[in-house]
Amino acid sequence: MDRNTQTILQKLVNQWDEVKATLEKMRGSSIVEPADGYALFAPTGKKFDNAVEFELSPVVFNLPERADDIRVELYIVVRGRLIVEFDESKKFLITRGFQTEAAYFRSTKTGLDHVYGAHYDFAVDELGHPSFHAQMKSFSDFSEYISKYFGDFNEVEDRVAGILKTVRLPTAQMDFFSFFLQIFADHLLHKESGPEEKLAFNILLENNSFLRGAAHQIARLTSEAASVCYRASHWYPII
Amino acid sequence: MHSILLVDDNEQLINTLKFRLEGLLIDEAIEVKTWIPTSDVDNPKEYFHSIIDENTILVITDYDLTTQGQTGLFGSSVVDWCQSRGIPVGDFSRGNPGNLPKEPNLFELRIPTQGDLAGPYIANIATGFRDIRKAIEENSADLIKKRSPPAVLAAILGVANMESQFSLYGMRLGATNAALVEKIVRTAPSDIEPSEKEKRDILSYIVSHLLLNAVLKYSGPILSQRALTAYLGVDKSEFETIDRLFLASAYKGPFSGIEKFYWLDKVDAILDEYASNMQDELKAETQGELNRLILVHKEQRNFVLHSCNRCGGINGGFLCTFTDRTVCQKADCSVGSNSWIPQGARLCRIERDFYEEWAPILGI
Repeated sequence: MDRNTQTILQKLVNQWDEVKATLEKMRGSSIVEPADGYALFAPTGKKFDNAVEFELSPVVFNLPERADDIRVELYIVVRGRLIVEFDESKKFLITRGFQTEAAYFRSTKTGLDHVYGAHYDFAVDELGHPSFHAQMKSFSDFSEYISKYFGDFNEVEDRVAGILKTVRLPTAQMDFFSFFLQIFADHLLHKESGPEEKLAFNILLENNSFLRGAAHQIARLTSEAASVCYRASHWYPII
Repeated sequence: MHSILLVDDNEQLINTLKFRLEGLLIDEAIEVKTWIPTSDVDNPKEYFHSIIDENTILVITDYDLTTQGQTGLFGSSVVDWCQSRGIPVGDFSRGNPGNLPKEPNLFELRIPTQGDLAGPYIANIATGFRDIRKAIEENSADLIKKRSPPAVLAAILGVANMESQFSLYGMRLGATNAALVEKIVRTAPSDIEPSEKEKRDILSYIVSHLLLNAVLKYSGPILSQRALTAYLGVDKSEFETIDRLFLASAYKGPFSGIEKFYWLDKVDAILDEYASNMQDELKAETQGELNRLILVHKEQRNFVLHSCNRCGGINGGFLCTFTDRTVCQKADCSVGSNSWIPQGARLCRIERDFYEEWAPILGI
């Protein structure tokens, strides 16, 4: 580890603390494991000029399926990689690359149902690949992380198996910190959410600006046309 | 005028402590009162409540209060009475130190008994409680609107951006004090409205303990001097040099007189500054080693290594709160725990050997 890597790591751990604090504020009965930021983010040793690659070890969120649900029976496992560097001011991080994998499980009387899985990715100039995209697939084996932190579940029913994997859905930049936002928005906010929950979410949104996106590397996304028109046509490279 | 109440059945000891405290608090406008429980008092609980009032900022009690005829009266009763009133309380056992566990609960303070430490410690925590109470009184319109005790603490310390970090120390800390819960639940019926003063007093009680017994005790955004040496991967005997090098990061808020504390973000900024003129790129396996190498470059000398028998003192960066030894984040050295260490205490871990002895009780 060098000083640059260490300083970036501190930034990631800081933001992880924000995520944990927001979770606690938005739903006290929700849990994320493991909590230790220093154990979660590991530099892989790969460097790209000043950019450093970090791996996010699998984290498991236990949340309600809908924010107004009294049961907390959904498990979401997230794993990923992030390549980042400091901007000139050294205040913000800039994304150079990322990969995020997410697996959703619903707990049942007999075990777990794997109900959703997706891989989120980024491609600068790859044939037929939207710059930011998701591909659904089964991550049934991620249930081992749920067992690790929340006890054994006897049976895992894979309801995602067989899904068409070649569909590349154009998406926003779903690095793992963006993905955490999605989790909170989907499962911890609803129309009757109180001002405290809304404020906690707003603060997390604001704090998330510590990481700038990867679009700066793609000319077609930084053109004026793209910045006012979000149609998928801007997402694909012209070959 | 604010006051401290000392409770002890040993006249000589209580008067010595009173005299010492009056000297230490001479410029602070804090009165030192005493109570020696004797058999003359029929109802000690009633008597206790008659001698404390809204200006009592701290009560200090000995553990054994029975020798003057009040058989059955122990410090634990005084602690309960204080907690039911929301008055900070510290206890100690000078006669038999083993009577009380070393670590108190969140809403209790353990007064050191070694040497002459008690007086300065009590004086420092009394002024800390007083300062937080004053800050809340003076800005009550703004602070009472804050979302939580961590938000109030962040505002008082002038670091609003650290609210989330403080909140990781105690989102449910109020619920750990049954007397406090009872006090609040009492106002649940719609015809009972808590007064502004009552809310302010409870808020300052919680915020003070959050700072003293959680944030300052378990190093995270604010580091103790011991945690700072661990973070920098050097032996604690190097503290004098470390203090000089990181003077600009010193924490100067409430309770800062207890020992030296440092802001982690400022420590990192100083490390950045020291590292900025280095020609060679430094590389190390752990944070502690990397931080120490920056100091070696700055001071142009080697530092005394800490005494870890796994790495020979090379690594580090974290502190085990149970063994008080420097550890690193490697899996064979330490584990992070979220059930025994507050989540906000990001520089605190549990040494692996100790953890194995107590697993699964210390489990994460």
